[in-house]
Amino acid sequence: MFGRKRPVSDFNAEIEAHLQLEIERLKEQGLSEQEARAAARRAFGNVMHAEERFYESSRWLWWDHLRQDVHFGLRMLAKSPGFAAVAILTLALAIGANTAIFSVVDAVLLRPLPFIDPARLVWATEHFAFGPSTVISADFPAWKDRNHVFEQIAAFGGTSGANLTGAGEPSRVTVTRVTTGLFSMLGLQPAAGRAFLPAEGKQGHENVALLNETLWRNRFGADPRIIGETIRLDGVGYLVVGVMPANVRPQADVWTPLSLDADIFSAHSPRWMMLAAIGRLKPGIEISKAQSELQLLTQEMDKDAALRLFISYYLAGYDIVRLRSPRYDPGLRSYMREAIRRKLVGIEIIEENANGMTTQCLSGYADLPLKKALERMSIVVSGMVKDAVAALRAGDDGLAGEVVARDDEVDRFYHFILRQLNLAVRNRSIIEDIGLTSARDCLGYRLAVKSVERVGDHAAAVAGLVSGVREGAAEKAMKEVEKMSDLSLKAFGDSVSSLLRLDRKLANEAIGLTRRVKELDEKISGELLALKTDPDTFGSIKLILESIRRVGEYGSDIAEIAVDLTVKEP
Amino acid sequence: MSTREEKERLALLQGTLDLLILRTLVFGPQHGQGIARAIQQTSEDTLLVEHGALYPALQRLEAQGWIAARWGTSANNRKARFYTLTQTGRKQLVKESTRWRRLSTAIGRILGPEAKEG
Repeated sequence: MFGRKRPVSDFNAEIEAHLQLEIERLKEQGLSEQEARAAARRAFGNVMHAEERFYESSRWLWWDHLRQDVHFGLRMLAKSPGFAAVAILTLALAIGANTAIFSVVDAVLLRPLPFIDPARLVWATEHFAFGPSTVISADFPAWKDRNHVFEQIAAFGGTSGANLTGAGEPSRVTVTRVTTGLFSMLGLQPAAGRAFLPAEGKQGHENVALLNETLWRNRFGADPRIIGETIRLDGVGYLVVGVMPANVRPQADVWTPLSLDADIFSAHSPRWMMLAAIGRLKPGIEISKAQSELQLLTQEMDKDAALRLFISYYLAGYDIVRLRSPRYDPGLRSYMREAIRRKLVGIEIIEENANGMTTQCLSGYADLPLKKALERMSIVVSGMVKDAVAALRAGDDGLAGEVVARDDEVDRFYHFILRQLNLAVRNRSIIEDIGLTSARDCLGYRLAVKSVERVGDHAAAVAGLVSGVREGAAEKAMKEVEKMSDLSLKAFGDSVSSLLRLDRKLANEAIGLTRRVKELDEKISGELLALKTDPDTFGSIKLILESIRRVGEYGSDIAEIAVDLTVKEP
Repeated sequence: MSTREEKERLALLQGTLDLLILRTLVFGPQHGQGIARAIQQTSEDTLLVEHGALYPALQRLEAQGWIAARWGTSANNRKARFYTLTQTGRKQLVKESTRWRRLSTAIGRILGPEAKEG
């Protein structure tokens, strides 16, 4: 990864120098030594991880390849069929994170804090090449959603200085971002107002903030009316919802929520934050058990990362991909083999050993024209929706499971089509070969194929809910649900046909059908309420209706693309 | 870093980072932190340079012989590794800039004129 001639120590010295220079600059801007150090470190991220993340993200891959194309002369690809685009991926999986868990009481607390049951509070970290650190934001959701050892896990970070304006003299304050559940998990109560609500951690929610009691007293004269008022941090408005006692941890003047659906928490994002993660162990769970579970989750993420990267190269149009990893163990090998078989079309493994594997892509648009592929894909997803609803009516869990399994087939079509489109946008002659006329068509099909893929997801979602609706439950409603599903499917099927044939009239009719689906959804929901179904079944049916309505809506999205494409290019 | 900054700044693309580094070095030798600052400032803070991503790029450019490095002393008397543009690096910069302009024109054409909505 780094130049061979240069010793690692020299590289580390350079990084150290960088951090020092940055710390000095930040101190000149008025940050304390400690804040400056933290901010410099944050801006730096982690170099090993940085490089990897960059390559993992398919968005960047697309650009990177566009650039490499010039080197490779990829234009030759179409003209001389013997030419193959080759990619060699080195997955530096061995540098992935190791995890460690410390008891908060042992490792962190200098003095007893008013936390509830502190013995179960633990501090979870990842270790990278640069020594112990915190946790990368992109890894946190997996810890949060997939662990079985924590009652709750919360995170904070992103501490930085901000200019507080609004009432009184402008001042410089420290702002720390916390997940909304942090304070309640620690058992810390607000001194006034309230703590953050879960909804305040969703992106798009109004900006809210909690004030430190000290700031509240010094700056706002302990006026309770500040709650409900808006303060400005670096010019952006935040609604004050409460005041936290002065001695709470993590220390800050102002706290704002971290939204877990923000970009930095996506594994595909090239940017992230370093966070501190604190969890509350379930009763009776040992630290060592939690440690091994987090380790396992992190390894799982490495596997996911390997597969995602591989798929990115497939989508980008490479023919031969060599995957190299220092940790290509039997577990990863069988995972990759199985996943490739399930999710991609025409990939043959032509070589495999302890250090990796080489694959070749053998099928292309000549085997299956793009429009044909899209048509077949939409037939598959329509069948899934139909069978999911049939499974629902019959209470047939076996059929429901089979619907979920068919999602792989959808994935194979999806990836196949994306690959053809990616190749085509770069090459005019491929556009014609796959049966389209312009780059604009490619964009339209790109959106359409995503919608078809989403319909498959919703079919699987309906199938997943089958076991939640028990027999006899609202038999009459089921009949209506089936009717609505037929209507949705007709809207969807007609939309796809309208796109394939560029039939504006059919497209408009399909859009009209979607409106009727929506009316039916409202009608059935109303009837269900009147029937006083048990709450679990009611909840499941509501979700099912939602998914079925979405099928129609995705159809109408496709129909709109069809209408757009019937208009001549300027 | 505030939410606003994170949202509004554009993350750098792999290929463009190399180009921006070469471009920055036209004005004379500079160390890594200086390069990061310069890119951020000249782009009027619209580009977000992940400092950690800068070093792999510098390594790559050095390995290709487009930049050369040696240890020196910074303005505030710190030891730092300074990078200089080499002769081939200059040529590469010309090539990369042309390619980038062509690419951005092409993308511009695909995206069409800027939308007018507020």
